[in-house]
Amino acid sequence: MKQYIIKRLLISILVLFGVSILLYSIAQMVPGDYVTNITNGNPNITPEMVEQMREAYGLDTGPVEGYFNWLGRAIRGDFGTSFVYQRPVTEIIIDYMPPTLALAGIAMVLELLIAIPLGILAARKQYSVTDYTIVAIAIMGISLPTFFFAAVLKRIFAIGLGVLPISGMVTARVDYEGFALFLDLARHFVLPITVFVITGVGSYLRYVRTNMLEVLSADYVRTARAKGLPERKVIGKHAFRNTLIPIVTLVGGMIPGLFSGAVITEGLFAIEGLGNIALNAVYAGDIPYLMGFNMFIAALTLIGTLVSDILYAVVDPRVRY
Amino acid sequence: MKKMRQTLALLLSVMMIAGLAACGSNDGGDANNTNGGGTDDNNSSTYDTLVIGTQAMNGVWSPFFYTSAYDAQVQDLIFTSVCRLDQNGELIDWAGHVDVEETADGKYVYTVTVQEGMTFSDGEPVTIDDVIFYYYVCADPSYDGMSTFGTLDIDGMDEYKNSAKFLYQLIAEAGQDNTDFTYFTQEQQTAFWEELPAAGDQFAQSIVDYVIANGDAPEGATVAEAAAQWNYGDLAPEATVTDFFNAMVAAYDGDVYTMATTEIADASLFSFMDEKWSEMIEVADVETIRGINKVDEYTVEVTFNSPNISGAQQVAWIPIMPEHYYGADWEKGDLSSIKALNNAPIGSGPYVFESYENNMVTLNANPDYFKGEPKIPTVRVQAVNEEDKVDLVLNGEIDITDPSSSIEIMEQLDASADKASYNLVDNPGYGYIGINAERIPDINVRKGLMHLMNRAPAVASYYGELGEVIERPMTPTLAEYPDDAEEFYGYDTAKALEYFQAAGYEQVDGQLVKDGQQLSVTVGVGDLATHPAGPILTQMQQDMEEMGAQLVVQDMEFTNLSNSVSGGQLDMWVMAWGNATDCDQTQMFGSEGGSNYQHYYSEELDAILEQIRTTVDFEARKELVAQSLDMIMDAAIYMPVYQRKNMEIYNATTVNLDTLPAETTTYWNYVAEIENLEMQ
Repeated sequence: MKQYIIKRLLISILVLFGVSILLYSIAQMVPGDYVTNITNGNPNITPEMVEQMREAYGLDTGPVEGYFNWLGRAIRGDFGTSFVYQRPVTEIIIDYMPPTLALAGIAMVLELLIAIPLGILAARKQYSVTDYTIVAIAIMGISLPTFFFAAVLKRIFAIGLGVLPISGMVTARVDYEGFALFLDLARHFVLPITVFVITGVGSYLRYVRTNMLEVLSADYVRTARAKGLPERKVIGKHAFRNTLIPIVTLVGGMIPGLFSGAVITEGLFAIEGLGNIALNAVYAGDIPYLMGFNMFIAALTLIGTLVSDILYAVVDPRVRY
Repeated sequence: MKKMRQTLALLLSVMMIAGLAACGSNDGGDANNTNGGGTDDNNSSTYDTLVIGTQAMNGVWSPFFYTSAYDAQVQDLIFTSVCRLDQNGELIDWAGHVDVEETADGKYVYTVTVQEGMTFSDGEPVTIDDVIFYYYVCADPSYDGMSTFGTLDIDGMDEYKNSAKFLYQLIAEAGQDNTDFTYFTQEQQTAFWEELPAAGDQFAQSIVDYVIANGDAPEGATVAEAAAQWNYGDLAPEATVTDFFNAMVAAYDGDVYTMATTEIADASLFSFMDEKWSEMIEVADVETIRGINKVDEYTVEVTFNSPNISGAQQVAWIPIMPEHYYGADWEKGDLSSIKALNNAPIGSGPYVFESYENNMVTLNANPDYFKGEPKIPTVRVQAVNEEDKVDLVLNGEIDITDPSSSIEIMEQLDASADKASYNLVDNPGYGYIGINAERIPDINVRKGLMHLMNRAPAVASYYGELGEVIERPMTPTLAEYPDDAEEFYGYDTAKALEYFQAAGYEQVDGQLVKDGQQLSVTVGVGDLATHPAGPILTQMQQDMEEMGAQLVVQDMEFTNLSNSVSGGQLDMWVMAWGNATDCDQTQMFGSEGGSNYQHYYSEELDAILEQIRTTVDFEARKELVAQSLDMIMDAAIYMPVYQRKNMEIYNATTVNLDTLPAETTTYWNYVAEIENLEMQ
């Protein structure tokens, strides 16, 4: 096991290295650099100024030289200064992490809480009205375009009923402190989380359902039924525990999602989280931020898969490394 | 497992309770609330917080380094400027004043002053050093912000930025007894000091002549009489210009360079010497800009080598930034200590920065604001979604915002006039269709294309009242814009065909061809379906097809479009200009212009653009601008299309609308008079 983990970690470093080359080339290939973007349409800017700014931002070097400059600093833990925010990349990631974590974290827990019982229910009553209803709703959720669904929710709950705020993270007009501030934040997160959950829960639900169906047709379930166990015990003890195995690995894969956030949902509700600022960084050509953030996500993805694999061995005694 | 299930159940119930409580608490949230501290006893307002809705901010609250207009919106509340633009876009006094004077040797001296008795929000007094500090940071060789101050033709700017000095300055500053020959040789030094006395005589003579010409001394006055007027009263009556010069050098303890730059009348001492002494020499460092001279605690003089029509704006329409705060650890060539303060601004503006958290900036009224303490104690600037701006105002969540204007929004606001009010102001920019004269070298083809652009219906259907067709390629909010300009190329397919035929194209088998080649033009546009110029291109495409020609419309993503335009890969393109504050268009239309993407080069046009830049008289300049614009139109390279209006909306249920400025224009909105603004 220990040897396996060490081997995986070493491979991960190689993978990260490859990913960084790929990411850097993509970031460089995006048409229009940061300086072009901020000076565009401004009649007062002279070509000399543009050149001076390119030099100041280190955009005057070729991609190969630029990459090695970046790599040299990144290895020492210095991910550079974001062009847009004019602050160290690591500092920005830490600063903007809380709203994203809260949004994605709560949504993920809710998704699991909805997906697991409903998935099991649908599987147990396969091809029944219950099954069809659950699956249909799940698929509708997956198919709903985020921006459209968000607009509908805003129209109903914020503008029509006036019970929830339209967007933002806090009520600007009022000075809340302590618990009241927490509640105010919570109110502002209700709609974004709803959008997140409803558009995201479907895929997990179907995953749980499929797994449950597989388990239900397994020999040990038939055996359990044959020896006369009540259905409640068959499902709750024998089947459910075995469905948990693939779900545990699924959760490992969800870790990077906690930090990458929902790019579109955050933007729609004016929540300044990692996802939203990553999107703006793409538009602006903020290479240091994009590199720092994407490497962070890449590292999390590798850790997530590693954790899944380890957990797999923990929950499933049949798996040995 | 049992324990885990219990934990899960507990977690679930906690979350549900929190969720319910959160939903239930909304009544409290909407209730009119008063701020805990800082409420004025005399203030009878229900609301004590003004909420301004803006878009995602970058958190760079420094006028030196900001790049986003939304950050600038916050800065406008924190900093105040020496001068600013009034309702009509003209420069007026604000926290200071600017004057310009032309010297006899063709230089322009701007005298900038700041009011006495102002303080920054940390209690430190505002002095001219803070203004000078701004100049120096923007002129720094490592400066990478948006200010164009460093590109100005200010005396000594080049030397400062490039760390080079004139040879005469190096030798003069080193003195006669210098033994350090790093930058020049001993022979040069000897030759210089040998040549100096002759130049000194001429220099002293120039002062004498100047004093007499100025009427300060009578015609035929002696050197001593004239020198007395120049504060050198103790010369002997029979003194010569040599004595006068020596007296001046003596007054500066032999420091010829400082003497020469201070006692200058209308010509520099070194201009009387051989040209070889004016060579630029790279040195380790130049610490000051020669043309920026502090006069007293509240006055600075800035000397321009050439006339500049926006010179006054450039030196006075600048934010006042506290040197004692931003400049504490600053040194030339390293601005990192200033950048480190990007997120903690201190200024002398109407509001004081408190915090930026939860996507929202909190500002408190500055009791020491030079125009008086603002009446609203707290201002919050909250980032919101562009699409939600109107709903947020109608819902009462924000008070003032600026949605991008559309006919639908106007109708929506008109329908709820009791909840919101709005102002429309001209956007300081314009949209245009450009033609690359290198790719379409035949002017007749270009003119033919111009006649196919049917602008009026397109602009009317897209903007309605919110935009208008303009006839010349320049921002109409500028005072120099020729308001009476008439349409240059009317929409006329017959005329277009005539021009194409004049260019040698013939209709053969339903195709418009020349030398066997069909007339085919490629046009680039960003987001055709929702673009105001979309219908123009669609109609053009149809008309050209009927003639047997081809218009290839390329719908492109914006950065792609701008790359293709600057790379010269398109025959024609649709774009817009913004932020124009003066009528100098050399960047766009000059042969050397960095944004001359139409690749049209004309010496005649260059000459007139140069003339515009240096014509200080407004009427004469306006005339020249009209001429230059006609020349540009005649060259058929730029078709101006529209100027749109910007919208600002106010919450009629929270803001006391009577306290908004009487007139809101492009250059003047509620921020200019925010100290008078009241809530209900």
